[in-house]
Amino acid sequence: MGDSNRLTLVASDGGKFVVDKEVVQMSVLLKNMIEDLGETDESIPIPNVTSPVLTKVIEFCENHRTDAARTDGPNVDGDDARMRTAVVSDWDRQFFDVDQDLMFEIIVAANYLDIKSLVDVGCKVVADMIKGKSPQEIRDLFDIVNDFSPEEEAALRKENEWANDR
Amino acid sequence: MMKVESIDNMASHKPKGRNAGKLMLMMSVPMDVFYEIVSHMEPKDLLQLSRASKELRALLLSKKDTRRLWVAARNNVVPPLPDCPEDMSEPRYAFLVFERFCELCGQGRAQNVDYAIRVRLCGGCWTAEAQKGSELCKTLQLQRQKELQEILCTLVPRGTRSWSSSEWHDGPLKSLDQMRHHWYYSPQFLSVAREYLALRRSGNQTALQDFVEKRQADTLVRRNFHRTLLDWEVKSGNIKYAAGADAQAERISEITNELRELGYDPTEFPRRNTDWDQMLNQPRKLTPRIWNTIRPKLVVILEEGRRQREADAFQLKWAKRREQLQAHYKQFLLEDRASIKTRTLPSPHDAVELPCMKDIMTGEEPHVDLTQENFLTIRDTMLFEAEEYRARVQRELAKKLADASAARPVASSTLPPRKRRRLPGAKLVAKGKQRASAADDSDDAGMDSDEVSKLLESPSSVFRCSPGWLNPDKCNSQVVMSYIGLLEHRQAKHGTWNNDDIFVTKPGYGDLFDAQFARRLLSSLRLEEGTTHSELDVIVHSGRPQCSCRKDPIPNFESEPKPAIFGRLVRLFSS
Repeated sequence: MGDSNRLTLVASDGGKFVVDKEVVQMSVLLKNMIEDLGETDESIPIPNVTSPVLTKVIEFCENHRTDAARTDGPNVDGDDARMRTAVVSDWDRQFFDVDQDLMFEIIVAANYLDIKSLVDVGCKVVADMIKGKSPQEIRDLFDIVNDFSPEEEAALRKENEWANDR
Repeated sequence: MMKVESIDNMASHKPKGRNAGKLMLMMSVPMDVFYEIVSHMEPKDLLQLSRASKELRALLLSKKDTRRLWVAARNNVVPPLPDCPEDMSEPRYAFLVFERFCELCGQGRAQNVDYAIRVRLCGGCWTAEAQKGSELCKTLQLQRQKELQEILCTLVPRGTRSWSSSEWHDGPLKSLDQMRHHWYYSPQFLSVAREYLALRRSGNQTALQDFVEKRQADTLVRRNFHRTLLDWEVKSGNIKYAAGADAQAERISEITNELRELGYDPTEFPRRNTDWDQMLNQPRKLTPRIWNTIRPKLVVILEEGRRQREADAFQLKWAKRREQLQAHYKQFLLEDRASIKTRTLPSPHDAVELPCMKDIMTGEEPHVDLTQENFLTIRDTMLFEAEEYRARVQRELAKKLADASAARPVASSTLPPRKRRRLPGAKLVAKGKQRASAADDSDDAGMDSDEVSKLLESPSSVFRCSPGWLNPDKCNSQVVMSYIGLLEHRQAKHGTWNNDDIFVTKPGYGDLFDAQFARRLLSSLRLEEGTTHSELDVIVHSGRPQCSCRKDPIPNFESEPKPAIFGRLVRLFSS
């Protein structure tokens, strides 16, 4: 029988990670799974997450283990608003200073594993990159084309186009 | 995963800027993640996103799921935006508050917003659409029905003609204060008035009464909503100002720390410097990239400040001996005014900067007097060092002549080609012109000392001293001078030699001072064509120039300031 305070996570590519149970429980998905399984030595497979992404997710959870209790509480609206307006720490910003593939994979993985703090921080980092940009700057950022005709663009500037969208 | 609808056009699309394509994957994340990201933004950002592409617009304005996004966005604003009125959609509300387009013509920067009327207009559209209640009633043929007019004027919110009246100062409105002489948004007024008149014609008094009560209550609510929003605007503005001030203070603090590490103390920072202020006093966060850009510029300003302070400290320390040395030098300059060499020596201000003068100035303690005898011991050395000064200044003047000749023809085009002849120096001007175009940045356009001398001695080479209106060192900028007169003038009237104060000029009041003119001048004075400025100067100082017409060319010659005599002659002959 191994250490009862540690668990083994298996990434989709077979990579194994031995992690403190306290850290693993920051994921609501895994926390529920552990509660369902009870005491066990079995590894927990994470089918949708690759090793590099799982490495980053664990790094984040280990760094934020002390404020894990915050995510255990009920998700009331007040908490949501607080998380949205909270300032991203320098560590978190540094954590997400990776290429966009990995950044979005981390957010999607956090969303799948239901790690609210990681989803919040990741989404806030991405949102901050979009904030304050003009439509053209957003198109450049997203690498998309302007598919509005000049007439449609002119109409968007006027009242009627927005009036009946309720 | 989201479906990317605009993929067809991507082949021809080339994103620009350093962030190009940086969030390309945003368009392929799961929908719930996309909405989670968007829920961290503010209404203005959602408006911009929804104008980026049709797909994004559909995602953000679909009636099913997106209201919560706009509500979240509204709550992300600090302070949170008041709740959306029931008669508006969330996007429309955001558009009204945060966009700056005129809702009628689409023009940007429309500042006139009325939250009661629910409209943002440019000045032109508002002027066209705002009318007095009485005038609008005339449009409806109700000019004789005063009581009816008064009722109609309470059914929609009134606006202000000039947008200068800020009613929010008064707190919540208890009852409507709307009269016929107030201004109304005509489309809104006429629409509601016609609705009222139709009900009135139907004869259903109960329905009419209900309509009026409902409209009046709604108008009161809208007017108070307008006041609430104006109050929010003020609070929001104050918070933004404070945030900007904090961000600016943080930037200044970070820059100060960086400069400290480079060895510059905050006491060395300039008090009034526009470039410095622009780099420091702004709320933009100091990133490594910004720091790398501004650091060299800040260091240049600080180094210049250090140099200036050192020079000031030096001046202060040796002020007494410096003044005494200048006085001895001025005395020396007065000894032989007929000599061109004496008259073309540096000004007293520049002379004390010569190495031998500095040495003797700092050779004793600052409180010890510097005597005439002390000065005489370095006189010959001073004259030797002054030669270098004179040579440098002459090179600079020759370069000015060469540069100026590159910009205009040397010889007059009014003479037939066979009669065109060149004065001494004209050839050198042409040569200098070629060299100036080849070596624009060189100090002397590549001319040796003989060439410089010949060019300056040509009577067609003249200058004007004009330090500019803002310079306290100003003088009569109309006087035309030879290089000798110019040096003499600068010695007597100015401090430090400044090349920017000197202009190669066209004298008189019109014609270019060219070789032809100079030739005519010499001929009129019965002088040979090859006469130089030095020779002309000797003639002027030894007696009086004789004009061929036998009239006195320069009356009151004795009282004329000498550097200006050449200019006087030029003016006389050009008139």
